[in-house]
Order: sequence, then structure tokens, then C-alpha cells
Amino acid sequence: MLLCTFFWSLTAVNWNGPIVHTGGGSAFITFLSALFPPELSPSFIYVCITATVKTVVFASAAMTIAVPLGLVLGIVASGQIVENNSPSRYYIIITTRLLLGAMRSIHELVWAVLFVAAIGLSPLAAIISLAIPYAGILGRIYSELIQDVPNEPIETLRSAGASPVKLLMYGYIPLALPDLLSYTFYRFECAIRASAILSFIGIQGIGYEIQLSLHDLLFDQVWTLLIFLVVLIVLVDLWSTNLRRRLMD
Amino acid sequence: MGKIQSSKPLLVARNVSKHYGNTRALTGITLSINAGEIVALIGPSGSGKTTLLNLIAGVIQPDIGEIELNGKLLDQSISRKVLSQSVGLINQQYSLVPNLPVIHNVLAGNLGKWGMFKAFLSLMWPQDKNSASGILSSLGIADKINERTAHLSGGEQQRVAIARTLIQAPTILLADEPVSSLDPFLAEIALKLLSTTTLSNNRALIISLHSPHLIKTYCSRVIGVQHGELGFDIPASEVTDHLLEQFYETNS
Repeated sequence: MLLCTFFWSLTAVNWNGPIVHTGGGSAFITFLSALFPPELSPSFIYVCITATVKTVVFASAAMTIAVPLGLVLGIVASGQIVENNSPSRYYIIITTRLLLGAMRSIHELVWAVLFVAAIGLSPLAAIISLAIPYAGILGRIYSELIQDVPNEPIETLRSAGASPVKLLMYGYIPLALPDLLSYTFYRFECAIRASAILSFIGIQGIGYEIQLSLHDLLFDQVWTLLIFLVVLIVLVDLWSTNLRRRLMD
Repeated sequence: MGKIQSSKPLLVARNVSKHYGNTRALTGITLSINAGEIVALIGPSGSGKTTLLNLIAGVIQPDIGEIELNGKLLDQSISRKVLSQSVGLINQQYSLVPNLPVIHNVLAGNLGKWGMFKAFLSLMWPQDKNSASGILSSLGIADKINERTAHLSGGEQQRVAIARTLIQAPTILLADEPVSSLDPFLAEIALKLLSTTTLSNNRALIISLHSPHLIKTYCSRVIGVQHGELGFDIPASEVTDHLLEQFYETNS
């Protein structure tokens, strides 16, 4: 079914006319050639560095809110805070999952537009706009990871007399922890990229600078910024792999 | 004067049967166990020993018949706390939490007795550590107390599982092949610890074993299960090597 849709979409392209709009081809080549060399003046490099730092800081601040919030909501959404046969369990799960769904169904850019309209182009707007959908995503995945742990240790702890909360402390969380951490690190990388995109709308960061340089048609500056972004993502990836390996020991 | 035996048996099973689909795992099991008894449960693989132990532990419910613990019917209405103090099971898979250090897996035996706050506190500062380290020491793994449980060998993990149930200290301790991964020397030490704890606290121990030597040294009674039915139920003194040989031969 997916293949059919793909082939059908190809027929929507006007193959007879030029695929790239007039002037687009030469603009593309101009853009590519600006890579050799990219803008390397110290004052601009300084701008790149501060923009990168801001991007990382906003992403980190957002995750600092999103992770605990997602964890709390995720634990509640897994239903493991009440007994298996408790009547309220079904309602607790449904309500929290709906809440998490609502939080993450609105993209961070849309949240950002809403918050910027409310409180202006401040870092707080960027941080909250990232934190809310990310808490929703993390919470949903956390709740599934918690529910998917192997059953036997849980049953043994239950027969040792553990109540639902103690089962969480001694069973569910320790058993799910490697996957919880792994996914959180992955989401942190996503948050950094999202933070860079988010700053396109005017809140400071790499995206904002890219947008500025694009408007001035200073493509070599754009390339410098892109290089910074790529290097940033690679460094974060290496750091998180290293940290994860050390924690898993 | 002899020891005063309490008149009420700790465990009574009446005509207990359990089936899975068309397979009958157990049929018509009737027995009673008193305080101070150490009972060996023997039988070939698939004879129904594990099912019987799970039924007594309350993990599964019988399809026919009933089980009473301390005179009280074992069904869904028993509170978790009361059940965990009445009966405890060491199962064949150990079912430990691999990520936790050994000490927390062992202290988890207290979860039926501790409040939520104490349970949480213990994760950072282990509470009531002395009895746990004492048991681990007797079992020869005192040095592993802070190791991540996943790093232990099979025999070491089996001993952690034994320690956890000893900490839980239920009135009826059930053990499904608890020394299968231990060498003969360690197996004796474990059996000695289990039997001493059982006798000095006037509890009961039901243990599925294969070794005739361990059975004759530590057990007071032997129950043989074959094809889901009770084969024999005799004092350990009446068990001979010949009897055991015959029993396993006719069932292989």
C-alpha cells in the first residue's frame, strides 16, 4: 500500500517541464561553491560558538524539565502505581495517556509560536516549547518500557510481599533502567536538533543565525553554521555513547 | 519431654488437581505438613513437582480441591502481606533483578514487612544489613554483596535467591531444586542453613531434590510424585537407595 502511494505521488510531478525552477540550478551551484572556503573570520566564529552554546543550553534546560515530568507521567500511565485488579487503574491509564498524547501531538514549533505570542521571543518560550512535547514523547515511551519488563522477577517480588510502589522501586524501574537511559540519551540528541530548528523563528541559537545569513545571501556563513551544527551533533553522539557505556559498566 | 507439636498443620492440601488445557499436571493430591518437618519432594522432570510448589505458594490456583495455610483457605482474598509471611518459594529460574546489586536483591525479601519509606531509603542506605550479610557469608558469597547481580555466576545467583527467601522468613519455605547449580560442598552448606533455620524457628521446608545423600541427611519425610499423582509419602528413615532406584527407573 505504501509503495502504491509512493508511485502515485511521482505522477503528480510535472516531468515535462523543468524540475528545478528557473534560476534554481545556478543558485544551487552558488550555494555549493560557498563551501570552499566557508566564513572563518574570528568575529563570526565567535558568533557561531555563542549560538551553538545557546542551542545546547536551551535543549538541556528543556530536557531537565521534560525528563522528570515524563518519568512521573510515564509511571502513572503504565498503571503500575495501583494494584492489577484495582477498579481505578483503567481510568488512570486512559487519562494519563490522553494527556501525554495531547502534549506530544502539538509540534514544538507550534508550541513555540503560541508561547512567543504570549511571552515574546525569550529563551523561556524556547525551553517550554521543547519541554512539553518532549515530556509527552518520553512519558509515552517510558510507560511502555516499564510495562515491557520480564514478568518473572516482578512476580517473585510480588510474592515476597511487595506493594505496587515497592514493585516499581525494586522491580520495574531497575529492570527498565538501561532502556530508559538509552532512549533518554537519544531524545537529548533530538532535542538539540529541535532546538536548532526552533531558533529559526527568532529565538537565539544556530537556527536564528542560519536564517539571518540566508537572508543576507552570505552562503559561506551558512556553511560555517551548518558545519558547527554537524560537529555538535557528532560530539553529542560520541559523548552520550561514552556516558552510556560507563553507566552500564 | 518431647517438643510440643502444635496441633494445627501448617499446610493442608485436599484433592488438589491442576490441568493445562488437556494436560493434567496434578491429580488428587492430598497431604498435610506440620511445623518442624523437612520434606523432600522427588520425581522425574515433568512429574508435577514445580506445579505443586507453585500451587502451595499461591502463584497459581487449583482447578479442583483446596489448599489451607495455617488453617486459612488459600485463595485470592488473602492479603499479599499475610501470604508472603506464610509461604515463600525459591524457583528454578531464581528470578532476581539483574541490574540491582546483590544486597538489594537479598533485602527485597523484606518488602512484605517494610513500609514504603523504609524500602525506598534502603535503596540508598541498605537497612537491616547485618542479617543479610550474615546469610551471604554462610553461603560463601559475602564478598559479592555490592556486586551487580548480573555479574555473578549461576551458582552464586542461586545462593542469592536462597538468601532472599531466608530473609523473607516465611513459615513454609518452598524450594524448587535450590542447589542444582551448587557443587556438593556448597549444596551441603545451603541445605544445612535451610534446615537449621527451619527447625530452630519451628517452620516447615518442602524442597525438591535429586540427591539421595542430601535427602537422607537433611529430610524427615519424602514425597514421591509421578505423572501428576502422589506415588508415596513416607518418613525418610524408610527410604532406601533401592526404593529410589526403582522409583526413577519406572518413571523414566
